[in-house]
Formats: sequence, C-alpha cells, structure tokens
Amino acid sequence: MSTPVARPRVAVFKFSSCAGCQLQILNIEDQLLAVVGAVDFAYFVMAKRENVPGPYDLGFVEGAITSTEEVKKIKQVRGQVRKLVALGSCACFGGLPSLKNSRTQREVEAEVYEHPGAICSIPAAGIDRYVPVDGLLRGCPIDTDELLELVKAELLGITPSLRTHSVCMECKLQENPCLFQTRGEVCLGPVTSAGCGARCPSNGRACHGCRGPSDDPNARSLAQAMWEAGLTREEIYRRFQLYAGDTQAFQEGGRLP
Amino acid sequence: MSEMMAGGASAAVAEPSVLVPQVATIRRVTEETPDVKTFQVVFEDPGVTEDFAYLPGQCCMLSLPGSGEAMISITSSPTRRGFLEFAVKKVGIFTSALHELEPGDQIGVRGPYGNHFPLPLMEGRKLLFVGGGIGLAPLRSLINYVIDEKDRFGPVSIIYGARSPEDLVFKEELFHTWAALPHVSLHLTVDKGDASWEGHVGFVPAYLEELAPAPEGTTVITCGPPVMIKFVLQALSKLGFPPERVITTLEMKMKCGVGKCGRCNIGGKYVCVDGPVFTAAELAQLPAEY
Amino acid sequence: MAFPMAAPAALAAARLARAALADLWQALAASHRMAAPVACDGVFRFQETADLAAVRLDYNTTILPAKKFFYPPVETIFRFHRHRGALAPDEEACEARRPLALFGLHGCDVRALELLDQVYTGEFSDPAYARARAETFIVALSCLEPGPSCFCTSFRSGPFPESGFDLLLTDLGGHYLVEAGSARGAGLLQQLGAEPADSEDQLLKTHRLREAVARFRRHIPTEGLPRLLNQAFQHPVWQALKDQCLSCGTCTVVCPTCYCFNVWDKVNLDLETGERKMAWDSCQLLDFGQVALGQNFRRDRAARIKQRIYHKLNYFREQYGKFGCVGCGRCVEACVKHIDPVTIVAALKGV
Repeated sequence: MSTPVARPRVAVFKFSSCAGCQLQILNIEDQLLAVVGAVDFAYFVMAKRENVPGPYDLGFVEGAITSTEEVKKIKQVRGQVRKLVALGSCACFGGLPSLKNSRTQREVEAEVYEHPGAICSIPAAGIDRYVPVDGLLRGCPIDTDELLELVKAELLGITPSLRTHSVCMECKLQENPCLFQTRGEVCLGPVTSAGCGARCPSNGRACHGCRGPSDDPNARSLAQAMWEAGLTREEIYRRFQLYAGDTQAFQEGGRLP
Repeated sequence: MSEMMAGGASAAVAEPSVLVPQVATIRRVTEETPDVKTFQVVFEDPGVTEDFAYLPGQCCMLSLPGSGEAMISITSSPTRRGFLEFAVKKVGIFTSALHELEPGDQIGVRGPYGNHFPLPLMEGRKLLFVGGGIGLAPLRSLINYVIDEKDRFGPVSIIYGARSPEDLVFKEELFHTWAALPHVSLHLTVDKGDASWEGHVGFVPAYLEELAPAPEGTTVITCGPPVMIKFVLQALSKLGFPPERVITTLEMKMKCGVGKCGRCNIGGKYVCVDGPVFTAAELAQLPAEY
Repeated sequence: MAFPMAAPAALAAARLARAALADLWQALAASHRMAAPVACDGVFRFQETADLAAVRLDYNTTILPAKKFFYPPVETIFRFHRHRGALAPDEEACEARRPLALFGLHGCDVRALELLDQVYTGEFSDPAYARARAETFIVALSCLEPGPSCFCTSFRSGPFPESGFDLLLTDLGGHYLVEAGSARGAGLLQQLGAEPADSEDQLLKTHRLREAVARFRRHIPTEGLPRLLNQAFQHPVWQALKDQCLSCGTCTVVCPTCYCFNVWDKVNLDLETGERKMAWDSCQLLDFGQVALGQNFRRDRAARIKQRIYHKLNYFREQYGKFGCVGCGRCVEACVKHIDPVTIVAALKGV
C-alpha cells in the first residue's frame, strides 16, 4: 500500500506483442480525458510524439519477453518505475507468443525466418519471470474497466480490487447455456480468471482462456471431463496452450494421461 | 441518520438497510504506539450516543466510504457514558485511512454487534486477564467495567505483554490508573526489552506458566494474536483451569457484521453474531478449521 | 413477517380449464409485472414477459433461481461523497414499480425463498428484500415428475409445495386444480369467478402426488444426517472430491439458498463520489477465507467443498432449524463434473 500520488507519471512500454493492449488504453474513450487529466502520460510512444525519460511512478508493460535483448530491457524498465503492471496476457503469462514454447527455438525460427541466423530467441515468458511485478491486467486484450480500476486505485493509494474467480460464474450470472454441456465445445471458463463478463460465451463462443488461470484452477480435472465427453487430446491440448500455456495450471490441462 | 436522495422518484426506501452506518465525529485521537491509535467518537445525533447500549466484548463496524469497513472491538466501558472508544491497529487499507483522521473528522459507525463477555461466569470470582498486543483493546472495556462495578467481582490480575515496551497499549492505564488500584495486580512483559525497560522479558504464555496462578475460583479472559491464544489456552489447561471458565475472542474477516455474508461462518456459528466471545469449551466444539 | 400469512389449509380451491389459464394470467398482469420460465437456446430462465405463449410450464429447472428477483446479484447499499471530514451517505430511492408476479415456481424454489426469508428477515432484516417478498405474488406449480437431478422429496420441498405460495397449480389432466395459499390468492380466485373444486379433484391431486413421489430415484436420507456429517470431517471422500472439483464456484451461483455476499466500496473516477456495493460471493473461492495479513483458513480445496455441503446439510439447520438444501439439483446440472450431494452423502454412509 502507498500514499496517493497527485498526478502520477505513467509510462507505457512494449515488448513482444501486437500493441492491442496499449490501444485499449486509448480505447477508454469517454473516460480518456478524465484519465489524461488525472495522470501524466510521460512516456507513451504510441500516443505521443514527445516522451520524457524516467523515473516514473507507474509503468505498464505490454508483451512477452522472448529474446535476451528483452530480458535486459525489462530489467532496465523495472529500475525506472516505482510500480510495474503487466498489461495484457502476453506480459502476464507469455500470451500468444508462448505458443512456440512447445517446440525448440531453432525449429520455430526456421519456420518463420528466411535467415534465422540473425535471430536469437528464447522461450516466451511473462515479465514476472524476470522482474518483480506489482499488478496484473489480464486479457487479450485487457478489459478497459479493469484498467480504470487500477488507475483509480493508484490515485487513491490503495490496492486495486481485481478478483480472480472463474469466467464460469460470470457466464452463469448471465444465464448463458453452457457451451461445453450443450455443444461439446472446449470451454476453459471454469478455470479462467473472470473480469471480462464472460464476453465470449455470452456471444456464443467458448472461452479460450485468454485471461489465464483463475484462483484455484483444476485444469487436469476439466481436461479429463472434456476427454470423457469425446473431445480429442489434440483439441484439448491446443486450447490450453493458446494464451496461457506457459502457466503451470494450464500445463496440467494440456497433459492428459 | 442518513439522508434520502433528494427529488426524483416517489416511493423512496422507507427504512435504510442495516448495512448503512450512522455518522459519528472523532473527538479525540490518542497515539498508543507507532501503529495503534485510540479514537474517541460521539454520534452526530446526541440522542444516539445517549441511547447506545452495549456491554464489554461487543464491536462496531467502522466505516470510511471509499476505504471500506472493519469490525473493531469497543474498548471503552459502558459504565463511562457519552462516547465510544476504539483502538485500531494499522494493518491494511482501511485502518491506514483511519489513522489519517483527526479530531473533527467524521466516520460511519454501526452496531453494537456480537455477543458480550459472559458476566455471570465472572461475578463473585477472581478475574485473570491475559492479553497480548492489541488484544488488550476488548479486554480494557471489561477491565474498566469490573473496576467501576467493583462490588460484583473479585480481585483482578492482569498479565499483559507486547513485542516491545513501545508496543504496549494503554500505557496511561497500565502504568498509572490501574497500577494505582489496590485490588488490581499487574504483570507486564515484553518479548524484547530496551535500555530503559526494567520489567519482565519473555512471551506472555511462558510468563503465565511462570506466574502459575491458581485456578480455584478464577475466571480467565484472554485476547491477543491467534498464536498467543493457542499457547495461552494450552498453558491454562496445564495449570488446571477448566475450559468453561476460560473465555476468549475469535477474529475473522467480516464484511456485513450481521451474520449474512458468510465470511465469518464456522460450523453453525457466525462469529459476528454468535461471537466474537467464546469459552474455550465452546471453541473445542467448532469444526477443526480454525 | 415477510411473506403474507399462509392459510393453514387452502382457503379456497378451484378448477381451472386449461384454456382459462390465460384468464388467470391476465388478471395478474393487470396489476403486476409477470415473470415466468421461458426458453432460450435450449435452457430455461425466469424472465419478465408479457406473453403467456412464451411461458414454458413444462420446464425442468432454470439456470438462476428465483432468488435473483429478491436478492439481486449486485446492489448498491448507499452512495457517498468521500471528501475528508464529511460522510454523507444518501440512498438510492426505489423507482415506484408495479409489483412482480412469479408464475410457475416449483416447490423447490418456493421452499428456497422461505429459507432465505429466515436469513433476510428477522433480527437483521433487509428492508428491500422484505418488501419485495411481501409484494410479490407467487403462482407455484406442482411437479408431476422429477428432473434428471432432482431430489426435493428428501427435504419435502416438493414435488408439490405445501406453503409459501399465493396460488398453487396442479395439472390434473383435463384441467388445473388451483389452490389458494393466502388471502390474496383466495381473493384472486374469487375475482376470477372460478368454479370451486370438489373432493374428486383433491383425490386426483393426492393420486398425482403419490405417482410423482414414486418416480423419484434419488434420495438423501436425512435421518441422523447432521450427526453423520459431524463425524465425517476427515472422511476420504473429501480428498477424492478435491481432485474432481474445478473450484469454479458455479454451484454457489445457481443455488437457490446460497446467500453469502461481498461488500466493497466503488469510488468513481472523480475520486470523490462512489457507492458501497454488495454482490453475490462464494465460499468456494480461494480468497473467501482470507483474513488480514495473508492468513487463509480455507486454502485447501477439500475444506471449501466440505464447507458448502456442511453448510447446506448441517450448519444451516443448526442455525435456522431446517436443512439449507431444497433438492432442486441445479448444482449437479451446472457442475461440469456433476458433483452431487446425493452421491456424497451415499459415500459418507458407506453405501
């Protein structure tokens, strides 16, 4: 806990990512002006031409760490910010870039690059593999309400209230039919962290687990239930791998006996 | 009382939810230790202060909208009317915000909640208080009560300790008011002394065993950190105190204070309603979760 | 008393032709918002609807129970301004709305509301809940056969409810038997000018009840259940369940008698105004047992699973005198692993 900071200096950094989470910061639209008034975006290359060096009060980092270069850089970033928040699933768990982790780096590089000799990648990981992190904004992309909650908490000097119960609960609150039970789809809702309002299942698409594991997930048991319901190991494994396959919890889901 | 929202709809809520606090003003703040402050409060409506009936052991939910609520024991005794006192240790968001307040500031108060110390188990008997740290807060309410109602109770012994001399709470009472009373015997200890400390050094449960009070005709009331209570209960059992005559309090996370939200539910009990005061015999009946 | 006093026996009983159900609906709709089970994407929900044709009285169970009308998933307790030195709570005024009529509640849901009444009225009454309960007209519906997960007979909350309704509809084949369970229910029957029921109708009802009860295959033996549970705290079944349970919390969301909630302050972006809110919470969530300074006394999943079963079948009864489960089977249906109080109790009994 800290004392409130009047107009904290905020910085936004990008690693291996699509930049969608940063874009979400700009997507808060009606609230954007209020936020811009309340904080000082000192470093935000996507949105500003003039950016100033640190130190900063609050740093948002988007993207996974997937090269030795990036390991060095994230450590530098950590040194420049008082509080570090992982912005989005790539920074939280490795995200989509971590899809490659099940294969060797050489294999993956050879597939993508014509001259892989110039590339030197390492398995993709969330930033907390290398530096201590003060907060997580999960999701691919992040949820704008959670971003506002975090900004408010910083301004008030309190811990943000971001609970990690399951997407399943949010889905039931909207009285959606269960996509696993009615359509036999691989839905990671029961083991995925809520905060998105079960947006995907509410729109007829099974949860892909983009927000990472919920607070006490039992992915193995879920995978077992799906396999017993006739889904293939491949289907189940691929779904668990997709966004947060690097987390221990979701790895259990991908490993059926 | 809380104000209704002005204008608009016709059918307003006739009575507010029990979760809406009353407004109270802080009259005095005493710094007991670097992280404990005692707040003396009076309700905005003097009628409420006058009618507020409680007994030692009960608690109130203190509220700072925007920072939350917490259940805090009433540390004043109902024999001293016209105000309520709460001793608050700074441990989290809400208590830190509370520590920023000064006389004249307002807080929300609702209560009294919970049960009280069972006076029939104490009347006519010797009383042994065993406290640690901030645990002295609920005990102080009872200690001042039995002091003010001297004729109903036997002689009083207090064993109290804290981490260091600085961390002893209610120093005024410990070193002056209570120390001056002939029928009160005080035994203070600290985990770690300092240059000026001349008293006993050692943990409260060990000191209790050293003093080896006799169980006959005595009721024990103990409050403190859970780990201290655990060892104190063991020590009391060794010394031969029957569990029906050992009284303690349970601390739980409480969100509503009225036995609904489920946070403080253990077995068939809601600690905010059926507790926080329990005898050691009652504690033994609860499921082995706590 | 939240719910209008029920008549000891039906104040009045009438026969209603199937076609005349619409008259009952219309009579209520004239002064109430109507909510009833409707189908959507293959599942049922209680929803406000003006259209009797959309109502599916042949429904098995709904996803969320009727408690959502009385005890909403999220509510504002009060609003505030938080500037230093002043506390000015103000309350959200209720818009004047027409009262609700719930049409087609099964016995399990009716009993569940009666159990929630014990929690939310009484010593620390919730005035909004009490008012909603007093105002809401309940037309209950007898179940003629159990759903796949039902076990209401174990708690006598069904299949035919005995109290807690204004009117009870029982389908006797050619027509409905409509029994009043309250003065205002009887009043409505009077208003409809319905033909009084006779002893043959009552006999038919008894017969149907017997038939329905005989169809139930799932039971929890309640004799000595609290004692059994008190002795079973360390039973191996809890560890076995720990491997099955996903800890998703869904069981507590769909349960008609769950009432645990969370309270928190939500401050607006102006950092000045805000609301204190309450919302449905769950003892199944890891942080539910969290206290200050990081201690958590139900960190273990087995402990949380136990808490739910024990609360429904033991602790609630200790506190309020009745079992806290109504046998509606929603938790079994909603659970991906179909964790089931019936099989759990059977395992504890060593069956």
